[in-house]
Amino acid sequence: MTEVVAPRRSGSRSTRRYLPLLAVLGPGLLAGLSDDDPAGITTYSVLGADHGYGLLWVLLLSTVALIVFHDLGARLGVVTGQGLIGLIRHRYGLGVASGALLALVIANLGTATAEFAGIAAGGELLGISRYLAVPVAAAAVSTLVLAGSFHRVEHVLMALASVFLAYVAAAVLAHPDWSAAFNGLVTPRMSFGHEETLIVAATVGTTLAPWGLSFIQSYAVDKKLTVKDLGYERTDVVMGALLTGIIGFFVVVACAATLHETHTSIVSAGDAAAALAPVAGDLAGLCFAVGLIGAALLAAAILPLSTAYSICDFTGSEAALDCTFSEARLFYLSNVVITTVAASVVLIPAVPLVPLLVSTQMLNAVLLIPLLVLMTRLSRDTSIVGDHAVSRPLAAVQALVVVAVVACVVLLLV
Amino acid sequence: MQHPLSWRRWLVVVAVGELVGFAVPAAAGMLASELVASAQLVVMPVAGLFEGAALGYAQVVVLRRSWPTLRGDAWVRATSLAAAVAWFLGMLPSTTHDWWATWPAAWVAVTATILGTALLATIGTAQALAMPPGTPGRLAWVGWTALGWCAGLTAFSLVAPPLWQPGQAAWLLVLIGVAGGLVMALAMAAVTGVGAVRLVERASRTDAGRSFMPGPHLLSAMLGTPVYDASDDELGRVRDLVADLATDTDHPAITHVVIGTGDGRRAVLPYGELKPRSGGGLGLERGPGKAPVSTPGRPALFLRRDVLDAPVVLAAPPGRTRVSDVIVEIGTAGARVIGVDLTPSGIARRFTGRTPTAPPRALPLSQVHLVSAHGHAAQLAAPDPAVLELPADGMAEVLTRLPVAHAREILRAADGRVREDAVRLLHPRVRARVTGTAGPPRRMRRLSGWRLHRPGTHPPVGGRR
Repeated sequence: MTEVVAPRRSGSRSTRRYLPLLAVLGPGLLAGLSDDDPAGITTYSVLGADHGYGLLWVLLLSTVALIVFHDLGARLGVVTGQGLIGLIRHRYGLGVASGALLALVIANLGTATAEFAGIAAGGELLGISRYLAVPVAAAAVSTLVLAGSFHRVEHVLMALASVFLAYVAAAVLAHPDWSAAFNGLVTPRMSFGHEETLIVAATVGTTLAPWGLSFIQSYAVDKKLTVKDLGYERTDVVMGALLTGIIGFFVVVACAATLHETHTSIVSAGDAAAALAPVAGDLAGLCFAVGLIGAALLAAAILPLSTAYSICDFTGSEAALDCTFSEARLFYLSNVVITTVAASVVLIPAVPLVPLLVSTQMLNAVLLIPLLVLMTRLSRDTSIVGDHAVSRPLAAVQALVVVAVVACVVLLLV
Repeated sequence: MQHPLSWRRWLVVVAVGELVGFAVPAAAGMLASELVASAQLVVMPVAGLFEGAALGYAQVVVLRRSWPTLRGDAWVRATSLAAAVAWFLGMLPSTTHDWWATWPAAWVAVTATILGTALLATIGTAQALAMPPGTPGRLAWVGWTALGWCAGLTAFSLVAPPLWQPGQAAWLLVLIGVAGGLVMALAMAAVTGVGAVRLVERASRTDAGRSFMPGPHLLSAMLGTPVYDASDDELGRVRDLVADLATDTDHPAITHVVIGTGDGRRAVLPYGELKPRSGGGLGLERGPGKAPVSTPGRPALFLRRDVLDAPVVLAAPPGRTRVSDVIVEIGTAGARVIGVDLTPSGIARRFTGRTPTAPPRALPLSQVHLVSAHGHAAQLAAPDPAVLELPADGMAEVLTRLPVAHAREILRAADGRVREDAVRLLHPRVRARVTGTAGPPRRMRRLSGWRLHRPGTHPPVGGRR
């Protein structure tokens, strides 16, 4: 007779302690680091170029917001076994879920377009035509998801995330004033001028994204994490959020040490990479461009995946990277369609990308608020999460983050 | 006889009405572009009167058949006036830019939020006031119209402004404007159509209370039915039905009704205490407070909470899906669950509000295993849990797709022989996960993967693994 027993213990004590953490690592790291996409890098670059080290403390705030809500997403996924859109349908009905899904798909499509635009911009900085870089990138991410098993996809994405080290190198090569940077990080100060308010709002707004929230929950479900893994998963989330903040810190520092000193204004991350080269050296500019392409590629892989998870969550279809195409047609088809459409839009000549991307950011900002509110409500609903409902202090922190995000979104929209 | 409101008909007629009406302010906007700001603040709301009238008329054309008690003239008048007010509010930011440009950002944010909310809620509020007295769901209608206009205006801003470029020919400008107007009208009509279907449904339920008449019914249509006490005071609305799996795992009897009261509380009443009223809704046979206190038993299944829209796992054909609707049969002696509808058409039906000509194909509850925590617990606590009666290969399919905790509970409750066979059929990695035994060495887990793997009875197609 087969007994259900505790897992067999083997290996040394330290191995036993850390290997489960290594096994759980993934959702938090990928969801966090993919937030450092071209839109995020652009925001951090403008923050550093226009305001120097003075507003670095904002990154601490956005990191806290990221930890709170990514932890919540992972917890909801692990406890309920459902993705965010599926859970919304189960608890709040078809109308709310379909509205959220529709907005999420439109916003994700626009954001995926922005990621491919980032690949195009980064490629052109390195002298590669967008008509080569974008199709190759689209084919690569689609092939990865279609042909790779869960662990292969996860490992490739994690390896891709290591390209963010390029920003650390760019910052070091820029010879920043580290004491001023540390001072800016721990000393909140702000003059509440229009531009400062706007960039603070944009920094907080760009860190938390609707697709990141839906991704981490669905990915935790796909990874079949159990309630026992929640402690390790929280470590994963904290590590992912901290790394996201650290990457942002180095981007800001690189731009503050160079572009801010020379009073160079930029409007995109591509501008930052191009402007860095004459000031901090070709290698620093190259590092920045490579980082931009890597960030865009990572986000371009994760965004269609997040969309496909959400669509299948809504319908209840199989959505697992370990399924074959015949087992999960809707999952793979929606992934490929989102990737293809987003890449195609970037390749259409004379398409006004800027208004499209601005509209997408607005839609993302508007969608974020109801999603955060629904998540906080779900996390306190004992009929859904049972004994894993959040404590009152954590609920208070969630409420504070929601209020801060609402304020930021309103400031961004007006 | 009343006709159910067709979402598709609403979409077409209302979109056409809005597009025709929108042509008036669009033309007025082009002609008045050279006027001073204060003049534009007058011209555009006047043009909005025509747009609102066209929109209101189109809506009445669709609503009239399904909602005979609605006063069409009041509806059109209210919509027309509200559209004028909405245009006035919408024109304020651009015509008063010089005035508010110097305000602090926080003031601008607060003002814009208030103005935007007022603009979106104007038409819905005016129409809610024009509805017959006592119509349920007025507040929801305000929300739906606000959502609809939010979608419509977003759609317009995504299409027309990015395409309008300096130096374009006049015909191209008009063409882009028409395309933007069409997308706006369709988006607005699509969203408000969902609200209109619900609104008319609730209104007709109040009129007839037909959801609890003998015959097969959809749970989604039964929820929200008003419940009255013996003195005709409204107690609340039906929020859930409770089925007792101890009576029958295939077609369990409905034993209780959960009622949501106006003050946000929930009351659980025995189903036998409620009867359909001739004047509409359900009636409590005894006076208020005299109904017997009753609590559902352990294998009780709350159909809204645990089944509707919940994920389920099937053994044959193996798979995972969601419940589109629950079919309940009301009889003279009681009510019972016929089964669950898993088809995508069930979702479409709930969206469009279309009444099926024949009851949808229902799968008995015993043939699906609920993934929701309460649903799984109730099914497992039933006298003869269907999942434990499955053959070994079917149980292996279910175990593969369920959350680990659920799968372990099933294994603990399963008969020894079947359990051994089912576990043997599991993919080695699923077996390790579910039984917590003898998986690959820990250090290999990271590299070898340990997630969804189908049982050995169904080897993967395509050779990916």
